[in-house]
Amino acid sequence: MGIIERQWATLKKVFGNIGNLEITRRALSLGSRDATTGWRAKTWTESIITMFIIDQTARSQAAAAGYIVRTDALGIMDPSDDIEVGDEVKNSGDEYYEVKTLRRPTIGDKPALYQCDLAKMPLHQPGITAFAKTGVSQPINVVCYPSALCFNGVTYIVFQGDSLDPYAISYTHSSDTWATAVQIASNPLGNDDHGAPAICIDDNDKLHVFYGCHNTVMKHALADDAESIAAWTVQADVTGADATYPKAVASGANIYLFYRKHISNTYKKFCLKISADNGANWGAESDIIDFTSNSWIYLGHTELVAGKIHMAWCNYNVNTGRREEIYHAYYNTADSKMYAMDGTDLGTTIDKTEADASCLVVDTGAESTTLPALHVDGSGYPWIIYISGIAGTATWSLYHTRWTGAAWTTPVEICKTDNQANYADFIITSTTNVDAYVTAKGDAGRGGDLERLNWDGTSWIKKAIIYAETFADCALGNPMVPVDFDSEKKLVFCQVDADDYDTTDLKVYSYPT
Amino acid sequence: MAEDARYKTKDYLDTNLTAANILKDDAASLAAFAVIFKNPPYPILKEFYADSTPANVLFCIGEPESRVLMDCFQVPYGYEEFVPVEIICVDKIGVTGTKLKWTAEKELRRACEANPTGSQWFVRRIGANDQDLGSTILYGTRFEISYRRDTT
Repeated sequence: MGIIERQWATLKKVFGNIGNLEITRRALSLGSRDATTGWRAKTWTESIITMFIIDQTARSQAAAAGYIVRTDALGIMDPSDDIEVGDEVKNSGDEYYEVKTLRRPTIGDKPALYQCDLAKMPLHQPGITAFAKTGVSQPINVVCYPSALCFNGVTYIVFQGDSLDPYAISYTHSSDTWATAVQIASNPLGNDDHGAPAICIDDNDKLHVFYGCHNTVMKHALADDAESIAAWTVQADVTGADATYPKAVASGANIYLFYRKHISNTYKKFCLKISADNGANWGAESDIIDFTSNSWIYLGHTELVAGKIHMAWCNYNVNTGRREEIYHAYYNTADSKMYAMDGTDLGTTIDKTEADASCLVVDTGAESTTLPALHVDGSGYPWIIYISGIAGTATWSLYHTRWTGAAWTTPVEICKTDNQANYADFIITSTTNVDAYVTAKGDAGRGGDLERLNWDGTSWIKKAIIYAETFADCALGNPMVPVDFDSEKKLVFCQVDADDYDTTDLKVYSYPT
Repeated sequence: MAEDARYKTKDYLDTNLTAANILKDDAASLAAFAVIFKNPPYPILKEFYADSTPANVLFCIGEPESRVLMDCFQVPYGYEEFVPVEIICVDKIGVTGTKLKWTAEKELRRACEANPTGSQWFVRRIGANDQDLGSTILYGTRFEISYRRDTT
């Protein structure tokens, strides 16, 4: 090992005990010119580098003739990482610095540790600003899907606020403004955060929210006006007193409402109700996934593409006490039947035998899992991100797999995490460009740092720490990509303090902030 | 509302500078140039090393000064705008900075000489402003372009 490597290893050991050395580099690239100023558009490419940022008293200095810079910090970094003047670096507290000068010293012909003068960017470090600060327990609970959607230039988000009541808030992209959060209704559940709201928008451009159930009656509220969260009217109950986990999908005047039906403590199946008239009336309940006894179905995301509602789920095996296996199927809205990706017609209801034969994506073996995230790529093929690990330990990993057109790919590990309830969501740009937003390791226990990793077709590379628990001063989790998201609001997530129903100050965030 | 003198100057230069007259050392290849406002929100050297269409020479328009023009009744009828323009470039493969700077200066003079009318455009050379940045010398020459316009 050379002198530079030893020096670097020593520094990392010393500074690594003080703070997080993983820094997001935002490499500056110049694009097309503005017609008025002639200036080029700036674009940023994020990656993770290792750097010590040492704050110092701000000062101005002559870095070179005619070049005076103000610096607030010194950055020391491994020469195997790259950086340029003009780049930005961002620590896990979302504080931004601009690289003002860069020194690349050498010892002989070997590069030594790079040193950067950094200037804090006070107008560029808003932190991750919460759009709501009145959340409870799990303000966004991914078991109810979706919590957000974008429609006609407005992103609508629903969450659990004071008394676990469902609240709605909206963000208008053109004016960069947030509306005031509005209470939608009262949640009949007490001390139970499973009744989180799920949202969809109908053919009249009115928002529907389904909420307030855990083996009880599912509540339904309808916005009074199109494209508005200002006023809501509670509708007739949709289900019997046995429903949990709404998953709402709207298409034209049809609303497809998936939910889990409680039969007994050893038997919970998934059902579907359809409204063909924008939620005014509901058809009969149909079973779509029914593993009969000793089974609870946990359905993750649902996504409608080309008349197919894709869904992925796992099965809580009452006998083993574990959530096992990852399955996938789609509901064909044309004939009201379920299908496997290989085209197998599974009829109106999938049973355990059919699921194991045609729908099994991953056999988790002796490990446990939970609700998977799902999205569909441009070829109409589903991608799934799921967690797997040893129940009762902090040993968990997030994996991805996708349908190739002929088979499911061998799962690839995205990152390690430390709790079964550390969820993820993702955005598919292409088969070689997928961004995963994950609840990574942070402090011990549920929740973690929110990180972005990118799939380049070969491997997952950590690109950015969006927000760290250390700076949020609370566990973070439950990331969710809004349906039909706008690039200005790709993600919502929240502080998590599960099962604390007395504190009503949890923050709910969007990203980019 | 009065038009931004910087933009009017940029428009004038964009219209009248001729690419075929701003050439690299081989006197045949076009040197990429751009007319921009001064102080872009990124390090200026990035312009010369951008991944796509990097510039070889820049005409940077600074903050203008202005003088009111009065008629015999002491009523303003127009303004004379004084707009600083700095030509900057660096040494690159196929480009000798000092040479390209002079080529660009010649073209700036030609553009103003050939297009003086309309608002009466003049150019005045202020002086050289080369800066040694350590690893790179930023070659610069400062000019002042002036023109007259009415009060609208």
